[in-house]
Amino acid sequence: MGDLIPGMSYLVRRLLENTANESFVAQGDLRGEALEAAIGDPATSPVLVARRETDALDHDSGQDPRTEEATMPSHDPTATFRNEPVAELRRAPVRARFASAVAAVESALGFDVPLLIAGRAVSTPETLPSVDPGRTSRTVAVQSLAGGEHVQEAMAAATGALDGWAGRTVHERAEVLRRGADLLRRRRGELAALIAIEAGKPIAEADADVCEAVDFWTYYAASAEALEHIQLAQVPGERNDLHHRARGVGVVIAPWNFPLAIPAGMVGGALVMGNPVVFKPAEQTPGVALRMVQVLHEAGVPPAALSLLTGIGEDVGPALVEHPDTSFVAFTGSRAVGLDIVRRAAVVQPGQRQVKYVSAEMGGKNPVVVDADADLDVAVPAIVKSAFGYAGQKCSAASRVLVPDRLADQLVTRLAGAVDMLTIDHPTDPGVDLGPVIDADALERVNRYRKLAAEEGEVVVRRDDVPEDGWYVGPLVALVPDHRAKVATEEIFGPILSVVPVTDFDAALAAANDSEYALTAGVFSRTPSHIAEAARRLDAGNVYVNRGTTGAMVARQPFGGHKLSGTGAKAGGPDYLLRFATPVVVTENTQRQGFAPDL
Amino acid sequence: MADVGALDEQAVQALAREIAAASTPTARERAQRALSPSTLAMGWATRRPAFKTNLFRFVDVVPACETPAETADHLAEYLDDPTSPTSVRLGLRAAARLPRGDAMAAGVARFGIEQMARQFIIGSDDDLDEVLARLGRRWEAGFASTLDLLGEKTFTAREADHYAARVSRTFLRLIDAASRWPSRPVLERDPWGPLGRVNVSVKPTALAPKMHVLTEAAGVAQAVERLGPILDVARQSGATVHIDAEHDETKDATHALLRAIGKQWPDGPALGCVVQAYRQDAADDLASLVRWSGEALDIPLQVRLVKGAYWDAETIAARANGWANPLFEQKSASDASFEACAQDLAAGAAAGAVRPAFASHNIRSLAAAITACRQLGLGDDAFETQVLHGMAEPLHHGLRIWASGCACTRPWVTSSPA
Repeated sequence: MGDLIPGMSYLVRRLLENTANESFVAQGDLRGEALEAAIGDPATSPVLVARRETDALDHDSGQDPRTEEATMPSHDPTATFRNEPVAELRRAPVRARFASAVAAVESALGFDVPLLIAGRAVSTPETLPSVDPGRTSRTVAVQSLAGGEHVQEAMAAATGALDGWAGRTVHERAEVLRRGADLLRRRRGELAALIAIEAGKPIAEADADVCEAVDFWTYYAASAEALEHIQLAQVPGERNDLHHRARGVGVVIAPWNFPLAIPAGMVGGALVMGNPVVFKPAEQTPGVALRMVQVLHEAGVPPAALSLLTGIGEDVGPALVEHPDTSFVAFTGSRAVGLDIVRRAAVVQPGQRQVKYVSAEMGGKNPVVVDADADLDVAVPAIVKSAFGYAGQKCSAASRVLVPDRLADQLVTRLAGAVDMLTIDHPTDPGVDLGPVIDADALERVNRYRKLAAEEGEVVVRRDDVPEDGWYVGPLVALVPDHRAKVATEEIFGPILSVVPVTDFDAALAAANDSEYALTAGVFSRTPSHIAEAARRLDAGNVYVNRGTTGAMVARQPFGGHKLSGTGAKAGGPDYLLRFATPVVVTENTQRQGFAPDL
Repeated sequence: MADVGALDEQAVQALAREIAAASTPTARERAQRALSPSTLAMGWATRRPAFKTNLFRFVDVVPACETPAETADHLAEYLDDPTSPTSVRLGLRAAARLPRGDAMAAGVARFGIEQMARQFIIGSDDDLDEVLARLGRRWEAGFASTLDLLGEKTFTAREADHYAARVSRTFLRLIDAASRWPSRPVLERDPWGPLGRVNVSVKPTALAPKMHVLTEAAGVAQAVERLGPILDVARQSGATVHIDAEHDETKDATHALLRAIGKQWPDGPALGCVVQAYRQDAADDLASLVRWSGEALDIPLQVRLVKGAYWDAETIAARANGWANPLFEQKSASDASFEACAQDLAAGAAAGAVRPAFASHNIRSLAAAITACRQLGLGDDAFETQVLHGMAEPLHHGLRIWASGCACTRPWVTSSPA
C-alpha cells in the first residue's frame, strides 16, 4: 500500500471528477434527451444557459459572501469588511510596478526624519541613520534624536489636543482613518519598497505589511462605529446608554519588524477612539514611521493629536511611559522592554490622576506539532515558510517542531532539503525567500544561538552561502533531543528551527505547552479527534491547524498572545478598541409625574 | 493564423451522436461497473456531500497509516458518522464487535481504496513489467499511451533527482519493450512524419523545486539539467517528451522551459505541451506557442488541449486572496473556450506549425474539436484524441471504433511509482 502514496492526490482528483454533479463523466452513459442536452453548443445551449444561471445563484448564496451583504443589511459595520488583497506578484505587470517603485525609492534614499511635534518639524543636532540591512553601505533615512524636552513638548501638545479630537464624532474620526487607508493604497508600491529596504523584508511580505495597515484602519473605523450600537437592558421609565469615551493621551511604542502595520494598528486604534497619540517608532525604521505619520496628518488627524518622536528607545521610552499625563501605553516588541514598561507604568507619578493601562505584545517560542499521520507535502513547506519567512523575525514565527520519533527522520530530511532550496538575497527581489536580519546585534545573537544549537543538538542543515554586503545569516535546522534545551525554549528571533522528537501526540502537546510563551501554535494532523484535542489544549493565542503559523489577517485571525507573550489584546479583532476607551454608562430616569415616554 | 470561421453546429452534434453511439457500454461492462466497490462508493459520494468529504479525507490519509490498527482508527473517525450510508456504519459497528474485526474492516477499506486506485493508476514502479505488458496490450488493441509518473510533491534536490531517475529508468524500459510491439501504422505516422511509440509526460515542478513564476530562471535551469539525459535518449529513439501543465504559478515558467529546451534541442526530440482551456488566457498562450513552434522547432510541437485539472485549487487561491480568478468560473465557459481553442489549434495544425491533441471525456467537446479540424481540411490522421486511464472507459472504445483505423487514439495512461 505504501506504493500508492504518491498516487493519492491524483486519485482524489479523479474521484472528485467522477463525483462532481457537473462533470460529463459522472453522468454515466448518455442516451436520448440527456444526450441531446449534453451535446448542445456550450455558448448558447438553453440547458447550459439555465445551468449557468443556477451556478450564478449558487455562487451568490453559498460561495461569495460579498453579494450577500447587499440583501442582508447588518447592524455590525465590520460585517462588510474585506481584507485588502495582497499584490498578485505572479503577474508580470504587477512585478514591473513594484520594480519601478523600488527604483524610485532607491533614488531618494538618505532622507531626513525630523521629530514632528504638534506639526512642527524639529531637527536635532545629533542624528542616527537607518541602514539597509541587505546592503549596509546604504543609508535609508537620517532620524533626529528626541530627548526629555521633546517628550514634554509632545505630551503637552497631546494633552491640549485631547478635548478637540475626542469631541469629534466617531464617524468623523473613522472617516479620517478611511482617508488614511486610501492614501496608503495610493502609495502602496512606494511604501512596500521602503519597508523592503529599511526593514529588510522580502517585497511580497512588505506589500502584505502595507495591506495589513490598510486593513487595520478600515476595520477599526468600522469597529469604532459598531461600539455605538451596543445595547444595554432597558425597563420602562429608565434609559441606559453605554458610551465609549476617549481614555486620554496614549503612548505608542512600536517595533521594526512590521514597521507600518503594527504602528498603524496601535496608533490608528488609539486615534479612532478619540485619544491623541505620541508615537515612538523603532530606531531601525524611522523612514517608514515618518511616512505613516505624514499619511495620517494628510488624512486629517490634527497635528497636535499625533506627534512623532524618533530616537533611541532608552532615551525616550521611559520618559513617555512615566509621564504623569500618559493614560495608556500600547507596546509591541521585546519581552524585556515590555515588562519594563509594565513595571514603570505601575509607579504613580506626582500629578498623575489615573491608573495607566498597558498593553504589551511581546515574543513567542511558537511550537508546531506534527502528528504521525500528518501530510508532509503540506507540513514541510508550511513549516519552512513559518520558520524562515522574513528570516524568522516575526513574533508568530515557528521556532520549534514537536514530532513523534517514528516520523522525525523523514521530516528532518525533507525540511533540510527544502531549506537547501531557499533563495537568500536582497529583499527587493520578488523571488527571495529570506533576506538579512535587522542589524548587527541581531546577527551576533543569531550566531550565538547557531553555536548553541550545535552544542545542544545535532545540526541537520545550515546554510552559509549568503550575500556578504549585509547582515545575512543562513537558516539552520537542528534536531534537539530535549525540549527544554535553551535553543528550544528561548526566543531567538532569527532563522533557527529546533526539531524535537517526542514519543507521541500527547507528549507533543505537553511539550508544546511547556513554555513561558503562548503566542501562536500549529498542528498538522489528519485525525479529527487529535485536531479537536489540539484546539482544546494547545496553549496559544492563535492556534493554526494544517497550515503555517504566520500571516494572521485582520478580522479573520485576530492576533495576540498570553502568558509572557502579551497582555492578551487581539489586534484586528472585535474587542481590540476597548482597551483604548473609557466605558461610561449613563442612566436616566425618564419618568416625570408618573409619565414615561416608553410605556 | 487563418480565419477559422464558425463551427458547423449540425456537424458537431451529428458527430457527437456518432461517438456516443459507439461508446455505449456493453451489458457486461455495465454489470462490471455496477458491481465495483469504487462505483458504489462514488455513487454514495455523489449523492451525499458530507460523506464525500469524509470519504476523500479518509482516502487521503490511508497511505500514512502504518498498521491496520491505525487504519481502523481513521476509518472509525471519518466514516462512523451520521452522514455515512447506513450500510457503512452498520458494517463498521459489526466489525468492531468481532475479534480482530477492526483489522478486518481496515483490510477491507484498504482493499477498496487499492481497487479505486487501480482503476485510475495503471501500476507502480514495483510492478513495471506488468505495467509494460498492459501498455503493450493497449497498443495491440489500437491505443497509444503516454506514461505519467505520479509523485509526491518535490521540495528538495534529492527528491527531484529521484524523480528524474525514475523517469529515465521507466523510459528506457518502455523504449525497450515498445521495440517489440507489433506494427500499428495508424499510431506510428501522421501528416507531419513518424510518431514515436513511446511518449512520457513529465511534471516540471517534480523536476525542479524552483519551478515557479518568481524563480523562473533557477527553475528552468534545474529542469533542463535533469531533463537533458532524458531528452537525449528521446532524440535517439524517436520518443516524445511531454511537458505537463500544472498550477497558475508554474505556467509561464513551464513555457519558458519549453523554449529553453527548443533552443538547446531544436531538431528533436518531439516535444509536447499542454494548454488548459479553463484559463482565460488560454487562447493567447496557444497563439504564442503555435507561433513559437512554427518558428523554432523542426518537429512540430504537440499541443494537448485540456480543460484543466486544478479548478478548485486555483479558485480557492484566487478567492482567498481577493484576486481575479484566472480561470473561467463557469463550466460552460470552459467548454466554450475549449472549442474556440480547438479551432485555433486546428488552424495552427493546418498551417503546419503544431500537432493537435484533444484530451477530454466530454463527447461534445471532442466532436467540436474534430469538426474544427475537418472544416480546415485536416484528415482524421492529423490529430489525436486523448482520454485518461480508467475514466469514461466506454468512450475509449467508442473513439477507437469511430476512428475505424483512420485516427490514432491515445489513452493517457498514468503509472504510480514506488
